[in-house]
Amino acid sequence: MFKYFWSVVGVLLKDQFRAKPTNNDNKQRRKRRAMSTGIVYAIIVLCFSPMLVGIGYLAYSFGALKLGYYAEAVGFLVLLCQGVVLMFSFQSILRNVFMCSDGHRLLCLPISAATIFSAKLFVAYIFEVMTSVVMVVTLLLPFGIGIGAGVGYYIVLVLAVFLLPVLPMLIATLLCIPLSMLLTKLNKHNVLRLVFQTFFFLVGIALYMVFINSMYQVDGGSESVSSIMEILKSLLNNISGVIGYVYPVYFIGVAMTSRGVDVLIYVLLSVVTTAVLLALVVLCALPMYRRNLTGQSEGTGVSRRKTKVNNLKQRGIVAELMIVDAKRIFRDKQFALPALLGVIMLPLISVFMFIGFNAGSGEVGLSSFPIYQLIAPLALLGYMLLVGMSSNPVVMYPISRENRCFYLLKTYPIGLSYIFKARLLISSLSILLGYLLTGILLGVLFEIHWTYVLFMTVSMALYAFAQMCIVTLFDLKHPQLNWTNYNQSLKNSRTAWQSMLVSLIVIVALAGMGTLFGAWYLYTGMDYIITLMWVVVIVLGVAFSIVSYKILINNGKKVFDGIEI
Amino acid sequence: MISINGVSKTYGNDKKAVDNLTLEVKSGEIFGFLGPNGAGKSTTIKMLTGILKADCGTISIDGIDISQEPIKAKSLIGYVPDNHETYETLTGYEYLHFLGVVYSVPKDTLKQRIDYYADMFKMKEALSDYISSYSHGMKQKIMVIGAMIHQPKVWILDEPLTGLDPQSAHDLKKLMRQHADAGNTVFFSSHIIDVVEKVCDRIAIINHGRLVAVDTLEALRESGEVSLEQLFLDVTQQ
Repeated sequence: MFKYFWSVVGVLLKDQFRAKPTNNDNKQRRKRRAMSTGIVYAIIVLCFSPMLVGIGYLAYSFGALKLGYYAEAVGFLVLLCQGVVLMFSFQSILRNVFMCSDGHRLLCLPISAATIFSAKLFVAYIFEVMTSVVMVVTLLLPFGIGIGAGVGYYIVLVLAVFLLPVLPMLIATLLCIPLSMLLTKLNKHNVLRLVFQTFFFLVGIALYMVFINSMYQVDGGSESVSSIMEILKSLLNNISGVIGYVYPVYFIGVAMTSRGVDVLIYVLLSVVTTAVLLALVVLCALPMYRRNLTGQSEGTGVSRRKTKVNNLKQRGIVAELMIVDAKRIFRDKQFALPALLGVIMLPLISVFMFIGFNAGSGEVGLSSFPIYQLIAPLALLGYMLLVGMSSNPVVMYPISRENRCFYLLKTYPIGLSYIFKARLLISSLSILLGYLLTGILLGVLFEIHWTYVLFMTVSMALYAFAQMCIVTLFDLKHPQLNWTNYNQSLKNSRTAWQSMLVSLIVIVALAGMGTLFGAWYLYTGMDYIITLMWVVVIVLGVAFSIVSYKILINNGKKVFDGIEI
Repeated sequence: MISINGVSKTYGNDKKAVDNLTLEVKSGEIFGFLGPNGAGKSTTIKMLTGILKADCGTISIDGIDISQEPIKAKSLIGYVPDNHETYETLTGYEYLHFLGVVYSVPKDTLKQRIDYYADMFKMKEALSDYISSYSHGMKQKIMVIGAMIHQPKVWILDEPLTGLDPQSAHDLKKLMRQHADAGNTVFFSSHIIDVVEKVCDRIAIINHGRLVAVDTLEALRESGEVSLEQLFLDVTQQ
């Protein structure tokens, strides 16, 4: 059984990482691509490291307060990490384990469904361990330093990295059982399926936020050190009431903060409870997984649509390309939900940001400070550009999402400019909708003046368009074709990271401008300076858009012709 | 109608898929293109259809150089690939309508042709279903219909009979004959030697990227009643 298990794991990993993007991909190109990808990743890590260092410092400071309840505090931090892992692993398990349509390849082999199921879960687990490492290094390690933990803490921390993802993955697996049953039943009804998936996702996010927020009530008005200490003590008290029931997490927390033989006992208890839960969940999930696997090879019996020949419409080429593209995106099981989330995520994040920062609340609202009206919309613009682009697959993968059908684009007797226009228009519509909703929400929630909301929304649209042209060129230069699983192959591809890099450069430029104009405003106190700043931002946005578009058109054809599949 | 002159294609640094291929396909003929696996057939066909660019040489469709005027050249081609990878989340109607727009087929004409070919290939009922629900043979049929919907002068068919039921295969062969007899060209690649023997006017055999034989079947046989299969094996094993 283990021989087959490791063989299946090996095949699944190779399938994900070894796909040859194009026929003219050779050793030299792969080497160059690996080097440049490494550089991109390194730059991204460098840019995000201040944020991670900041979070780490907060965790250290929390520990350094030495408020007691160490086991509960560690348990809480572990729960926070597990919440993040749950969010990632849920999608991963649903798509790669329960809804992955590779049954026809595996069922004919002399391998049990249990082996296939455990191999797939294990592959998902490998990736969640990586998430776990980041969370542990950012939160748990600095906290341990803060409380002056002993060697035992750090030894158990290494074990915690491997134990941490297990519970969220089990929860995700349990959630996937009824969900995958329902989605299979909704196979014939694309719209219903998409609505249900979106609703489920939003409920999940909302529950997570409610759970975290229920742990503490923080009064934004209190500023004295002693009142903050009291708040944190009461937070820990609340936590201790909850954590005690989450046995694997509680036992890890106790193990990490104990000494001597207690460490061993609680580590063992944590491992045993996790193993018992794992066995129970696998037993529950296996029959459902077997049913899913065999069900994939059965006919879909798709409902008949009443499309009549008389309904054929004469459309322009760009319109037709856009409509076909939209139908393909929103009918595709792998793309539909991420594409829709790409539109609604931005407004959602703005609501979460408002809840998190509670901006404008308290006795003295930030929005009443004049400089707020200069800084806030600019900061929000930067953040939205960063998040908005990378969360929208319609924007991020205009070429890669063609996958094996890319060759068809090359056979059509239509100019490349039509194809680019159609792609850019559909990306623009997708992202503009999100930006419009976001602009209005941000203006209302963060009490930004309506004129600045208008400037902010227009700027978002211009910079997003410019970035879209650049991202399209990136995707053309390094298309990911021949993939089988969007979640594994595209989601964290090089294009996503490159786009983030471009966003970061834009944000730095905007920050520089904001600083200059902010200083000038503080010096003179004249409101017109804010308007002037936005005029400059918009003019630069227009220029950026035009230049990016021209770069795409001038270079796009050569790169497109060079793609060989 | 199809003119391939000194065309070569290399993958990576060393793998020569097509080596200095020169070929003329006339109007009014069904031209069979044979070769063992990995011989360079698909690469040649991809270059003919504009999917790949030749490293050197020229390819012309009805006198139009595909590298100089690709759009004009592609509008003359109806292509059926061997892998039938297509837009599975569209219905058959939507896919054919999309091709109609891309190939500038007027709406009324498109309607008539969809009706005609759907009837011929018994796909009328299936056209309103998603292509993802089609069987292998049905996907092949929709690709064939898609290649004919704009009535191009040149049909480039790569294993078009794979997966077709006997009636549909018979109908397609009949269509190929009618198309060629009307002064058009059919460039037909297949591993089914029997079909190539019966249907094609001229045959080319490619091996290791090079043309090893091109002529009518009778001329290739020279003397004796040698089957095309034997001829193919003899030529490709030399």
